Amino acid sequence: MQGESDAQLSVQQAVGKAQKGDAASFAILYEHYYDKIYRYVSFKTGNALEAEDITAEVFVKMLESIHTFRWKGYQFSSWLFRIAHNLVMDHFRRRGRRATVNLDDVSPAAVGYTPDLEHQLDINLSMESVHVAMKDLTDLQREVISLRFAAGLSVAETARAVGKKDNAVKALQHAGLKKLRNVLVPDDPVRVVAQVGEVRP
Amino acid sequence: MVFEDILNDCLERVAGGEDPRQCAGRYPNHAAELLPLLAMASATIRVATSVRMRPEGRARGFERMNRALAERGGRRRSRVPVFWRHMAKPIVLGFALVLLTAVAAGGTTMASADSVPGDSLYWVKTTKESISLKMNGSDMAKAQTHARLAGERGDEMRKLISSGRLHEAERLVARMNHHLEESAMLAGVLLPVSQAEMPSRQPLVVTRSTVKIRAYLQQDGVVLKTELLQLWTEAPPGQKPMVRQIMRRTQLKYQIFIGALDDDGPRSGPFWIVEPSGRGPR
Repeated sequence: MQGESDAQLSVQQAVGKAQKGDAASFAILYEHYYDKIYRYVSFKTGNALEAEDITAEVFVKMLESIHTFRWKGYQFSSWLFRIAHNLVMDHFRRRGRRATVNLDDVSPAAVGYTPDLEHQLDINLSMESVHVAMKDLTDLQREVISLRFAAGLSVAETARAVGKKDNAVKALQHAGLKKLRNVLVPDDPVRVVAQVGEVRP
Repeated sequence: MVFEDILNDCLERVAGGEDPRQCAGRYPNHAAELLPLLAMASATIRVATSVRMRPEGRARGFERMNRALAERGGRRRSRVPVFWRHMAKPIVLGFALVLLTAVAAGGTTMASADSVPGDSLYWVKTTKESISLKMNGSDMAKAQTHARLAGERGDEMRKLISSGRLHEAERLVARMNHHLEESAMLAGVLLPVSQAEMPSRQPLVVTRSTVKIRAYLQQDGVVLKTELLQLWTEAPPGQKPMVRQIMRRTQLKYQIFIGALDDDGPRSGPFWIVEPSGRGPR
């Protein structure tokens, strides 16, 4: 917790200095956020090279518009992920329709399906299968799942990034996970047999 | 407590390393509904975090940001004739194309970019560096390359320390300092032994090159300091003194060089305290 608030403090200082044009502070922000932004972008695009390009673009945009950022009750990460989201959307618009994989091609075998409770708790998914399943989600659900599980943002940060309340994010996260599960693990044995007594502690 | 809150509580716990089954056990009435969702979340996190990040992609992005930063600085006080402003982009693009082709042709060169002393491909990297130094026409360009290479040695140092190869990391300090001294000499900066003994000298003529060198030093110095501090924090007690020694020696040279470029004259008292105590150096 202490480490987290220290990190937040140093981000705040770096943002302040970067707004004054300090090159080293941009480097600090880049180091601090690169991994999270890259994971978020690659999770959404499903392509490593495109993700590298878009991630680089995110930081150039950050540099160009950091002077407009104000600490008005939301965190810098939420602002940065808005930029990332917009650039991913621009990318999809430029590319036209997204490259798609036929849902029928994603058989239970393709997602590591075994009709056994123990294995069912350790689902092995592929990036492609998750991508296909994500298409069944609403835009907001998809965004929340990406920010929470790929970028690793907290509920509060996600809420500010998508412009919703914390409770709405929790509900979207619930609905999104449920839908993903239904698509990726259609005959879910856990749903049928899982009772507290039957679950290994 | 509504189910969404329960699910979120478990998601936070699972993200922190708790077994999904264990967390489901905390909420026996909801376990049947929780487990599949937690398993799904764990699998999604696994997929998302399994994406391999290429160091060269990261480095390219960083370079792109720095270029944009330099261009922005240049745009603000640009006195470049209009003709050259129009020509600059095609020239840069052409150059980038040639560079990309060269990089694509040299897979080994790319693979060596990440190597550290002792690796089989390290010689490829140092040979490439020597060539790039020789290809630089002006002294200022050479000075910039040396400043950049000092940062590269710092990066190698960090990798060696994190893999426990402290003696090899310490040997790199001398090489890093050599690059910084060469850079200073080529840029026409006389480095004092320490900032406390800053000699009087002719004021340095500030050019775009010296500004660029300063930016490299500032960036690499800060990044290296942050990373070494992190490594010092994580190091076992027996290794801490050596990591601290490496930190001191690297930061010292960076600060002396930056101070000399800033021409901020002699200082009294301690000029730079790198004394990890409690939470780290001040």
